[in-house]
Amino acid sequence: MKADRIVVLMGKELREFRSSPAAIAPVILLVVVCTVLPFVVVIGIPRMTGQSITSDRVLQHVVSLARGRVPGLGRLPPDAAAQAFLFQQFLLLFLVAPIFGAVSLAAYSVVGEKQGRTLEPLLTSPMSTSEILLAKVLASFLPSLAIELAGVCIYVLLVGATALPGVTATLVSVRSVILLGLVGPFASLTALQMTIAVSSRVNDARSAQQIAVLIVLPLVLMLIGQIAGAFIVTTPLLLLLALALAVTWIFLIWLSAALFERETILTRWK
Amino acid sequence: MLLTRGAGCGVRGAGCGVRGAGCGTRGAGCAVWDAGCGAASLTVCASADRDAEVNTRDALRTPHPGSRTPHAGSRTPHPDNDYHSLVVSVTNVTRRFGDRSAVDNVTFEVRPGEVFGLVGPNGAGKTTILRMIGGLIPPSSGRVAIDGETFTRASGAALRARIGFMTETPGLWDLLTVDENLLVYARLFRVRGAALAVERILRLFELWDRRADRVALLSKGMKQKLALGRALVHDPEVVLLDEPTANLDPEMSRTVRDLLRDLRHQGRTVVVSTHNLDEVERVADRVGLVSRTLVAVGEPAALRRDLFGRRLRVRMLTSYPPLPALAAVAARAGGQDVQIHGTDLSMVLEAPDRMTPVVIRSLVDAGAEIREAFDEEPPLEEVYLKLLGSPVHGSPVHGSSVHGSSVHGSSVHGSSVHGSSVHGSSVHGSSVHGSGVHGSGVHGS
Repeated sequence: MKADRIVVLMGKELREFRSSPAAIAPVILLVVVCTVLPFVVVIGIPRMTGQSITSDRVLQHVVSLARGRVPGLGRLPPDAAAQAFLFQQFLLLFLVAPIFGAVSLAAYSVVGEKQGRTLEPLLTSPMSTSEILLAKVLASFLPSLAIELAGVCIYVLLVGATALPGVTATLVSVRSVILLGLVGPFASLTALQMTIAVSSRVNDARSAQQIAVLIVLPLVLMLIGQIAGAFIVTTPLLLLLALALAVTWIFLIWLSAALFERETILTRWK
Repeated sequence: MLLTRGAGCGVRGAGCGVRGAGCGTRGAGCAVWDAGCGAASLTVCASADRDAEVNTRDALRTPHPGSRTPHAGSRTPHPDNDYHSLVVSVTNVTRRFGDRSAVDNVTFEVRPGEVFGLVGPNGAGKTTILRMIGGLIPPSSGRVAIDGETFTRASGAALRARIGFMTETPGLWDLLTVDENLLVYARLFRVRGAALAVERILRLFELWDRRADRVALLSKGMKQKLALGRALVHDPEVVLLDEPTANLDPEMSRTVRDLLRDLRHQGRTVVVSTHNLDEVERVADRVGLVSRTLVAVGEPAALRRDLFGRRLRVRMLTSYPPLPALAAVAARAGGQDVQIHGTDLSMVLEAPDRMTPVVIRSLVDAGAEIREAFDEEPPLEEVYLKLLGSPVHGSPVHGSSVHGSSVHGSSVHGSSVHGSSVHGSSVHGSSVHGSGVHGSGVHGS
């Protein structure tokens, strides 16, 4: 693979996104929702109802379970531990939001080329299929990752401003770094690569986007499962998950190139 | 860098062929598309020395001391061009899509420095052939090679880098600006001094003033020009053009034709697919008539001669003496298949160079007042209509010419030059009336 060509095509994709702000808007909107929602649940509702979040027995039980497994929780008083636990779980939303947003960009970047009949000239260039597809994946991934990181920074700052003392420190941990720095990006890349692979075989962007559900669904289940106390995903488990996603992504790079039939695209895409 | 348009032949500007400052020879990393008379000109550099800024206006005005002044109409590559030309060979190539055969057992070769025209009706397989030559799709059977090398997983990228392919549809990125569209391709092809190369192309195709506009705002013709520029921005050795003048106005079509001549002059190998027979006749060294199979291939003049024979046309000032009588005189002097068209006599001569004076002398002796005499050259359109205007029979013909009945059986001969289709065409500037060159005509007396 030639990195310079990938960078050139990525640049082109990014310029197209820049020229079409509406394409980026869904990602920004989702991240804003993900940033605000936890504060409504953890800070807003208890203040409005006048009840502490620790009055919920189920949550008490879950937090007591998590105290032994999630670093930093054990040192906090019950109210702060509950807040810290919930804010940590809501970090998972920052994995899901960029996937949805980036997937819509990625799906359009192949299907859009088809609709504009711009893929054939691109195929006449020396770029290999893998390079073209990887450039499209990375071009969709980078803006969504940037928006995600910006959202996380704002999230942590808001937690620092509104949560009980000691809560913010639990968010800045190895676990969070693995979650946001490894699991999140590899989940995004895996979903994007799947979307790109599918989008070269379908006629509309929506069909391609649906495949992202395969990645988003397990992440949502992880969020719900942890909040409900069904299980706690430990740091080593997150590391394994990141590794599995990385391997899956690399496999999907190969698979998407294999599925990308130049001939079909040139002769049957009308 | 430089770009010139027109020159010397009263087209635009003055002075033929300017080579830009700051660029040397091909060996030094610059490919120079010299200006021919009336031709567009382009210099594309491929080494670091191109990055030097050059005053384009000065370059446009000032002839470079080493500039060449080639003849745009020349049919042979310039003897001292140092361009490494590539031969394109298509051997027994068949391409099937499912049960349907789009291209069937096609064989031809395009020589270095040759402009080869692919002509045929819609669905004849022209685009499929170009795509196979460009390495976009593989043949179902047979072999396509560029300079002896076939497209494989390993060689594909390197071969494509040497080819400039203008696709059937412009396929431009509408959301990007004009110069961004070219710049992306220049960088994908690793053109050094990409910005400068893009500027040259944009100036050449008169798009420089629109460089900052989004492509979506361009007219169809401008998009076509930009697509053509994109195919040339990396200075390719083999140029494949699929309908390059579609949507272009006559002036720009002429620029494209001039450009094709320049490409040939530099020794580049060009394959152009078109419906425009006038265009292909003007620029192509050889044409391949395609209708799924290769129906015929050869120089336009050779195709005409082989299909229609070489005919002498003698134009009288008056119709006295009566044309039938003069036709009889011509027949006695050696003319065959003598036909009368208005005040013209048309005939086949077995040894034209030797027999023409004999026939003319006989006619003058018989009292004919001859205004002019010339070899008939039916337009390529007639060759096309004769070969492709009706269903193709028989086996395809390969080689340099079409040999009468082996191509079309009996449909080659007789009055089947498709009567009404010939209207409006001209032979040497004078109209071919009514039944055309081969109409049922009036024979002898």
